[in-house]
Amino acid sequence: MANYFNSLPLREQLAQLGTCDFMAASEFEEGVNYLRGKKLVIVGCGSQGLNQGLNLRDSGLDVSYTLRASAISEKRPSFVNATSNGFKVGSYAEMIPDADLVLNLTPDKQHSAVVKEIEPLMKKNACLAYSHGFNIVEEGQKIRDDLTVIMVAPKCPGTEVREEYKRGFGVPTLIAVHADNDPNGEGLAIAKAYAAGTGGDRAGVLMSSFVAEVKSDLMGEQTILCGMLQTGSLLCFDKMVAQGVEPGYAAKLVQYGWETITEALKHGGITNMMDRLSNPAKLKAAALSDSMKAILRPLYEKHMDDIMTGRFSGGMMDDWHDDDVKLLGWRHETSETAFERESVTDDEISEQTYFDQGILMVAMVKAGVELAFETMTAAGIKAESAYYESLHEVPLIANTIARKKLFEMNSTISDTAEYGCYLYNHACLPLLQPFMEPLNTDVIGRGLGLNDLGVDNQELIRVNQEIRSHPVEHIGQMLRGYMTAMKAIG
Amino acid sequence: MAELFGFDSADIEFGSGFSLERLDWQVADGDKWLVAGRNGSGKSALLAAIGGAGRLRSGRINALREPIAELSITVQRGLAARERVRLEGGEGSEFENGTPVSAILEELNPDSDLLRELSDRLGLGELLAQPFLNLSTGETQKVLLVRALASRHPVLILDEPLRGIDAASRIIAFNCIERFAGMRTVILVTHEVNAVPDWAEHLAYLESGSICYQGALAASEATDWLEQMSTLTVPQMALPPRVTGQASLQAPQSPLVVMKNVQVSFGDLPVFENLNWEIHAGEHWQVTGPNGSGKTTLLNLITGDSPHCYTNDLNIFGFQRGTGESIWDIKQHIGYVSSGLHLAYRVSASVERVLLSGFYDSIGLYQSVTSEQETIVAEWLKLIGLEKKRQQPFNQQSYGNQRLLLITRAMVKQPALLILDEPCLGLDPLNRALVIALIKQLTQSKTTTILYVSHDVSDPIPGISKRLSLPLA
Repeated sequence: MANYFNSLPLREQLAQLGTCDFMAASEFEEGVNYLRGKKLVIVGCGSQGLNQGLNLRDSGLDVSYTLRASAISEKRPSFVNATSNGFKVGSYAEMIPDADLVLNLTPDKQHSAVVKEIEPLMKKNACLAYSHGFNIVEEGQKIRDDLTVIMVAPKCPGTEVREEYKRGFGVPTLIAVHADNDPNGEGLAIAKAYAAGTGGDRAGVLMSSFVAEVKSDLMGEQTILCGMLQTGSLLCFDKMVAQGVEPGYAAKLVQYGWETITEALKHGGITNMMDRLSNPAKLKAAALSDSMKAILRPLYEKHMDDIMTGRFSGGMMDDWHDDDVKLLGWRHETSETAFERESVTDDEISEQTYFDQGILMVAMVKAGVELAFETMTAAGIKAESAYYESLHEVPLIANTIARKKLFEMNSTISDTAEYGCYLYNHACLPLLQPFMEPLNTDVIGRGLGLNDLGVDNQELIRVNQEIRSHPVEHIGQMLRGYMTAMKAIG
Repeated sequence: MAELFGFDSADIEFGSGFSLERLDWQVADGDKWLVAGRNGSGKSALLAAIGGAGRLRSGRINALREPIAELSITVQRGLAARERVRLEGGEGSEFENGTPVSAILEELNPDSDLLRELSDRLGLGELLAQPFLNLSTGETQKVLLVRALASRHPVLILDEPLRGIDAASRIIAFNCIERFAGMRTVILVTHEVNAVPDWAEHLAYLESGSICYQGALAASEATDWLEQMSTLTVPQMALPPRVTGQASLQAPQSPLVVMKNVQVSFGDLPVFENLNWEIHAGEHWQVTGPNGSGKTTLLNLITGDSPHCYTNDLNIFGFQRGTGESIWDIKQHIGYVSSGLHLAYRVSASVERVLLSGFYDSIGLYQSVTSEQETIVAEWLKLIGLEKKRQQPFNQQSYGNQRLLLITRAMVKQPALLILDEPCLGLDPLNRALVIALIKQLTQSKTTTILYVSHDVSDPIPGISKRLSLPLA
């Protein structure tokens, strides 16, 4: 198999990278009708598999599961998940031949083996669906010509997909039809019905492409989403401890700090996050962010380039074939860091204190979001995709760190994201060392402690202007506007 | 005896905007206090203030320096939230299916003999290995009671300790409290003023954030205050109208619910075997049964919230379940309230929008509403006396008022089937009387059939004649 993206002519690459459009609610008036009475069979019953299946069944669709023979005979957790929820479960040979729509919701790493086994069993003109396009785009899996291939990618963990549905809402979702596999022209109708069945249509659906989803997803998760938060956690914690901040306090400030400061992003983007700082602190954060952007830009560009050329996925697939030696080694290394091992204090830290004492963390989020967004759009990815894969997801990942630090983040995200996160971390740590050297607890751990909050007018106007006019703020304001039009918050 | 903690002319402000005012209250070591008052009078705020919450605006606090063992909805919510986080975390948790009851119990005191004795008395033996989150409302309450009593903490806060506990266990529970509280200081909060235990010595009666009476519980003045709480009469009232053009049943002549040979088990534990049940329009039912008899599971089969509704022969509102209908097709004909819904209703929405969400069966409001719906909601708010709270955040209301609002949310559309699962937990006697009066009115309308669930067999609801009694599984 060869990398699919690299096999495309440049004009096709650009066209597919540049696909991402917000779909009107009226496009979903038919609901799940296109799939009514059809047989949906889900491969895999982990977090996405189980929770998408529960939603689709509650939307009136006929859902069952198929698992590897060993998972069934050994009653593995996936088997227990499916059967205890009243779903029919069978082997590939039993379930696949009757399926009209097969949803491959196994981890990336298993895709090519799973597809190789199920494809010959699929009936003519059936449809194969993914929630992540790595297998098609990076591994270049070629699917039988008579089969339709689509993607429906909810932009949240599986548990959120279920919780939001039960509330009567949903999570933002990307859909796509694989241009090479739409023999009957019905791919879009199936994808829309599938998205409606998971509740995605209530929260907003974007028409994307396999290529745009994969390339932007990889870039976001490696850099700002997971990589920057990991590197930032380690640097900020070590800095504070070296400067005499009580380690339990430092650990708490970092563990819960990301969640608290990025909550502000949800409501009003980088602008609102920066507005939560005092004026002197804002100027400080903007200057720190500028310095980090200058240092890190080549690293972000390297990640983007490696993703585009397939160098990243090639390296990761080599590790798959090497029994994940690198991934497991890096995972262990992370668990041994001082930040991970420190237990947090019981002392209360107020919401505003996380901003006031976490100026450097705010600067890191700003630098990471802006750099990821700039690098993605410069590479031909549309602003909408770049927004979802940078700013939009930061609070979701920050929540995982608040639960149980980096361990939790890395066990919640996919192995692909985790691998990319460690790659970034290894490169980023030494790059930022000289920048960190002269910093003090005024920007991380204790706050500026000023009695006089005065600043220069011209300087403040310049910085505010710079923050507000960044393109991620323009697209963000528009997309958040669509979302709140749908989700009226009391 | 020495003062353990106290407040002198204290004004204490809370984040929700609520304040306790001119608080003068001294509690001595070993005191046994009853704290009473109507929903929203400040009982929970007072308990929080004992624990050091709130901001002192004026006056003085002699803070409590001893650890507190607390049984309250706040503690329950905290544990449930922690469990959800652990479960979502997946691989990282020590217990894959959630923390078992035994581990929850051991958190405050690992003394296994004491825990075993208390667990046996309250009949928890079978449940010790079960995941905490799988327990029913009443079972959860028993676990939290054992957990608090088994602790060696010198101060016990018991906020509605009998909430949801079945009739057979109530006396046992009270005896356990008396015996295991021993010489410790106890602050008891309850609306059940007719069943105050003998060991309670003092009363603090709250109204609008102030203690308006404190003194011996045996004094006649104390009795007057408590009686006032329970003897106010509910005025005559008329229900607001239904929304015009509300979805009608597709098969109005067929039964609302038909269950045939229903089988449900959790793991190896059978809950129902060959259950047959029909609910016809206009036949109002009361379902009773001890804690853990499967009352909530039975309701979840009807509402579609149990996965077992797809593995059984169920016909709900003419929909044979699992034949292409969606849960929203079912829910549009149901109004529903339960402790589970109350726990799940965690959104930052105004009181008004919470009631409006009843028209869409959603937690939070995601659709635009009509002016007719807004008018109807305003009338309901007036009926329950909370019209002034219309624009306030729901999650800053007292527990009792939240419950009253969620009951009203279930009623606003006057659904074909109104399911009330232990609705009155946490309501003061007057609000309880109000809810019962509303139910009675609804039974007289031609549109709504009531399904009322309660552990308490001696709790007849006027207008409801059919009974289903579930045995312990």
